[in-house]
Amino acid sequence: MTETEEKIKQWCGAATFEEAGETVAVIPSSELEAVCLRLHEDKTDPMDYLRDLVAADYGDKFSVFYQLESSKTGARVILRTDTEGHDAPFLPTVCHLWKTAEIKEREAYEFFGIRFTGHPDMRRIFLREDWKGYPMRKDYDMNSNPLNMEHEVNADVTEEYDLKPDGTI
Amino acid sequence: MVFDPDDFIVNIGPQHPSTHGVLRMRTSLDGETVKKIDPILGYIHRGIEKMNESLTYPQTLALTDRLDYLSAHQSRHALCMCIEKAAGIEISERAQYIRTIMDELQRIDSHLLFYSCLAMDMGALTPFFYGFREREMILDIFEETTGGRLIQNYNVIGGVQADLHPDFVRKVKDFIVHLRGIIHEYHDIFTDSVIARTRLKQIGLLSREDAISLGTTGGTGLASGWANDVRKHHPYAAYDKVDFKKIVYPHGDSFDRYMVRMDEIMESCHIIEQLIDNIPEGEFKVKTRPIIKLPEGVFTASVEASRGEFGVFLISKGDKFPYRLHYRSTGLPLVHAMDTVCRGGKIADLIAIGGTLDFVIPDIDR
Repeated sequence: MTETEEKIKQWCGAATFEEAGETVAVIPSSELEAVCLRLHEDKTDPMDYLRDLVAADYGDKFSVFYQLESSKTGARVILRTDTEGHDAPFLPTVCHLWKTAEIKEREAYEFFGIRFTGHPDMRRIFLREDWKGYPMRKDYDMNSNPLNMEHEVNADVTEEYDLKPDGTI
Repeated sequence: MVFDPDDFIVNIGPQHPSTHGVLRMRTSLDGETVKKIDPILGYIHRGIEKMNESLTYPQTLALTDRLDYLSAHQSRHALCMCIEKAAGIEISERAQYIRTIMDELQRIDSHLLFYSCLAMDMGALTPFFYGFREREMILDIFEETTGGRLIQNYNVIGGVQADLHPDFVRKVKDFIVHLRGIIHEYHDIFTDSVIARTRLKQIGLLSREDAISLGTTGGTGLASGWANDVRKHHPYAAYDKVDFKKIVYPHGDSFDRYMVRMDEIMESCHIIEQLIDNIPEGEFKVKTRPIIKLPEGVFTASVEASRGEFGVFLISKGDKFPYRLHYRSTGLPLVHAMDTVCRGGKIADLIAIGGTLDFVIPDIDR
């Protein structure tokens, strides 16, 4: 267990660690913002570089992996958060800590349908704006979007999701 | 809110002569000053990540060359490193040295193309041919050993595909001597020109905190004062055996981004000189099983590609297809940085800044 992982264990008691391959710290989504903030502000290894934000579909839930690195010492850590269930997945955003998360969370939304609350611009980025479905999900039907020869209309206004105590939007 | 209803929006369309690739930027202007840029990507999206879930591991290697074709060796090296680390395959030292030398040649080739295209974007057409003249020599060296000029298909799981051509060492040495003698021409015609200096100095400032927060690695980060070289912090292949300087420039403007890459060309020559005479004998490829199955778990690997940190993220469930194979692209943070860097500047500077940020779109779109 590296130092960073020890600290995560101290801050968040519910964190578990999976050791298959690389060590991944699994953090419940309710504690994610707090842990990320403390990692970002840490004195010895400030994790100010978000290397990557990867989403994955595990069948009954989605997971998002955050790969962080400290620009000062080079220490690396991988965090993982799961959503509850497969329909209408929501996770808190981290783009107030790392600006690069703005575009990476858009990619996760586009391919998996995971919406991030508090993100200022939740739009599709690679596919057409009128594309139906979320391609990287395991239950995506490959024939659901036939070749569309109409021009796409680009939106000028997007929605922002905010977390209310009971739900969202 | 992406744009207000009374913004004047200009579309810098997907087809434009700068060879970054197909990038569409919707720009809201106020006279000639840029207010906001909204990049629209996906014109070369090929669904590589979805395809990977139905390909076996040796088949996934073929797609990595086509991501960032100017760091084809380095991208494929990253994926091979990840799979070898996961499967526990140790490759021979000879293969490590060959991979490192090929990576550095690819880096020189990519930076020469950066120089040529930056000069051409800004209107200087002669330096374009200078860069491509030297690049032809590197591509001929690649073609003799690997069979390909742009897409080399060289790294495989377990080593490299074929041994070096007998003329390789001599030709690389001749090329380095030639390049060292001729690089002054590049600086005489472009770097010292008053037009280039006025158009690049103090334009497109990117502060160090913004660079780290935006994740812009590679030359852009180095020019903003962030020493982020993966070869130094997490060494791989033969990089722990060579000695090379860290190149960091403080200002974060376009001119620094340009000078970083010109200095990196010289550093790459230095690295190759240290390795080229000492390639150990041995086999170039270790025997692997015909069907490669990785153990369950999460695996990552990262290399320093020509444009920044290229990473591979692999989730395996124990069978012969990856469950999720994701590439951390080098260009996506750079395109995102265009909005931050270009605000408040003139639209003519946007082209120069896009040239110095040095992204290629196939890497972003995957």
